[in-house]
Amino acid sequence: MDILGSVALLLAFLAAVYAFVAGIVGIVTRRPLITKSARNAGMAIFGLVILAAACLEYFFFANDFSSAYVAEHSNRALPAYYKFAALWSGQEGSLVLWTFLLSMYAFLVLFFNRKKHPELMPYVGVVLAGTQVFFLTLNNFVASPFRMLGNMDAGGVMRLASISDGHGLNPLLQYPEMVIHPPMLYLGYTGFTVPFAFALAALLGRYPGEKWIHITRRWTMIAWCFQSAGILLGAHWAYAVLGWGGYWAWDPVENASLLPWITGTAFLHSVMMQEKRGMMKIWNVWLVFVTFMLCILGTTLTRAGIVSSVHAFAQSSIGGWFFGFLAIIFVVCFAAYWKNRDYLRSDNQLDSLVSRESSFLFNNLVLLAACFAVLWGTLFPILSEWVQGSKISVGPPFFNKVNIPIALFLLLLTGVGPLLAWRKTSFDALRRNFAWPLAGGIVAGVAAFIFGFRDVYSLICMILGVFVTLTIASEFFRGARVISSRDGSNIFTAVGELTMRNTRRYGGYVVHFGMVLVFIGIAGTPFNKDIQKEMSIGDTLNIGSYSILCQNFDAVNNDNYESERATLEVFKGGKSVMMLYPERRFFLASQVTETMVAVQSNPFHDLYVVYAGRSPEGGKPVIHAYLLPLVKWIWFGGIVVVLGTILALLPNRKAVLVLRPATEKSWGDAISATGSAIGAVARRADARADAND
Amino acid sequence: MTKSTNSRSQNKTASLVALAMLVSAPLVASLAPVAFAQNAPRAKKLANGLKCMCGGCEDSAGQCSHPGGSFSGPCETARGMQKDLDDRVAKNESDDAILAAYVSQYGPAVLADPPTKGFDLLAWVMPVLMPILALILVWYVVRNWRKKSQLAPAGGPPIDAEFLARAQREAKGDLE
Repeated sequence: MDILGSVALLLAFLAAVYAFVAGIVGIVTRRPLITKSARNAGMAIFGLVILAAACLEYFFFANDFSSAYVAEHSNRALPAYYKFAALWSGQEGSLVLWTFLLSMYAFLVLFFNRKKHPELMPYVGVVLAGTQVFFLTLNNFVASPFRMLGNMDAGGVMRLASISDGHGLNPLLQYPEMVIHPPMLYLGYTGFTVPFAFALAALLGRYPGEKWIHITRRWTMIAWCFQSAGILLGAHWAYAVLGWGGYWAWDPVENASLLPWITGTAFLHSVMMQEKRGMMKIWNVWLVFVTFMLCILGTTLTRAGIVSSVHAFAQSSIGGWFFGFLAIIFVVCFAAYWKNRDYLRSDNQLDSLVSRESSFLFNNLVLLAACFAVLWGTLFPILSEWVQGSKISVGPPFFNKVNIPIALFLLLLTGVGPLLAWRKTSFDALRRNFAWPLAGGIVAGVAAFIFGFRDVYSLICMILGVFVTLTIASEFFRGARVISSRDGSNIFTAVGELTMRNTRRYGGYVVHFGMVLVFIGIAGTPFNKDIQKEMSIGDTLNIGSYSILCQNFDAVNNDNYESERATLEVFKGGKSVMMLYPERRFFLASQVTETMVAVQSNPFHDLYVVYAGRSPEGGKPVIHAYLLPLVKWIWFGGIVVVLGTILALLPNRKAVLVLRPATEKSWGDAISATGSAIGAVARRADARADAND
Repeated sequence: MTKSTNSRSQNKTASLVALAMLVSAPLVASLAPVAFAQNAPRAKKLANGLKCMCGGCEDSAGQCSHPGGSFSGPCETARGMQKDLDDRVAKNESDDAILAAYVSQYGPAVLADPPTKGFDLLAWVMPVLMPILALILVWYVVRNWRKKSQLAPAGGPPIDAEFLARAQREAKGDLE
């Protein structure tokens, strides 16, 4: 099976090299047959990588510990779903996952566009194949997952060796999120290869117009959606597994996943400027380039061990390869841009500073500022050590101080931007659109202050959160009212109809609303409380309005781990409200202990309890309890973001013209009808303008 | 006699032990297990701004949790730092004095924030400077756009023929 897997990976590499070389030859010689064969080779890579990945999975499920990778990352007692996920728990396997997902995207792009865009697709195929050549080089020659354990026999011949049981999966990874979090994140990282390939292809081939943007819009949104889901799942994993009561520590690996997400978000917004007005062409091309480069940088940071991180499970000396690849990408992108920069001239100009265009400019500026701040803070310790020779730390306080104001300004723009019209917005329109949302935000701020929100940033966040929510609601309401007045439907039906007629716009608003919920969840952080106490049976710990009584400690064992479990009864106002069972699990194969946090969550706060273990001094069990306000809003907001993106991906429903029943008309009716017809045309014009947003 | 000598000897030993205990009490106290006392709010804030210097984690002294360790709470180093911060706050030492003491003991790496002097000041300056430079660039681009826009020929954008026909059709339909 190892030979089959190795051969499949090698053939995939050869197919990628062929697709790359033949693709270039096809473009230069303009011979369709060569181009077609290059495309077929590009699609064949996917099948071969599936075969290789299936071989590796076979080793895991067969408990074949003659495979060095399986021996290192699995054991017999490991549950089946973790055996499946163990494939990406180390360097070699996670690179196979990367190649697998990349080749899947490449296959889908090449297959669905096989009869479309004949001038553009050969270039796209070459860029995709070039990227696959790099990753398959790593899979085959740098970090092969099919290394086998062996012993030299007396005759000097290498014989396969096997150990009785593996070393087990890292206990930190034995959590349900780890089955889906890495694939989600990698689907994001690899997904950005598609818009990158199209952008570079359009530039290299001087493909006319904004077509590459129309083609890649959905691909970009899919990648962005996966990246968002991956980041949030990672945050939830950190929250539920690491037992420190937090979900984001500005860890370098967390930052690395955030960077392409930020530039991807900027691209999703600025791309509308190019679609609607033919502006920001250079900017958009570079945003896509930078997003892809940040994806590669992210995985470089994770794997190269340049920065230390609790999330880095696959470190090695592979970083040099990634830096080399990054350098090649940059040189190719810059050369393509320099040679074809005249192709990226803007078609239109800005008419007014108070317009949708300028709001997108600011949006992009702020997003890029956030991206730079995160990147700068992540890499500054390395730079400082290099320049000064001494190490410094750049920790969460720095990132919070720098990024919170930027994030709040971005939240403000989330509310302001959609209310501005394209080209120019009048002062009256501004006043009309902003008055109620602004008033609502201020009222919410006063209410939050009265209820104890005394942290400045949290208070501003609450005000802006309500402001943005009301602007979104008013957008839905105004649009729905037009539909409702035309076809007589109730306002809720009209909201549904409106949304389905322009899924991109209204799905985008749902995403914005999801982000508001995430922000509100984060705004609760300054009010976190925690207490740690040595507890024997019968002891009580108080936190907030809760009283936690220690009832028992017992053992829960299985083949994979031995667990020490605390049984805690939680009282509120003297009444028993719930039982919590935090655990400490000792994983037998890896001989490592991990905590299993007990969380009771409601919209107001999470009661988060960790059984930290026995006190190193007294040997008594130690319970660490946290009361964390509004955390649930973050996860709920994440779900809304994903649903909003899915909504935005749906095709628009065509508007159906509903005519009024014919009636006999007097002259008065006719005059009135003329007025209403003019109104209808005007409304349609508004609706049309909206649809163009 | 023997008893008396023994008694004196025991008394002397006891005195020496008592003296040794007295002298070594502060030292013993500093090495003694640290109880899980809650830090004062200011001490907690300071602990969150200092890195745990155990060398085995990247956490702050205030939030050290050592996942995967034998004890998933603050390690001995972090607890020692928390206790020390509590003591210093109780003695009413200023934040600056406390941080300076830690920097002199561990170097600037103990601070979770980069220092605000010398080369490290760049860490703070650049995230502010770059957006300002970008803003100037945007202003320059927008100004150029607007200048060109003023030179553009008069007249609105062409009306989409399909839209115009549809609007006329609807208007006609409403009048009938």
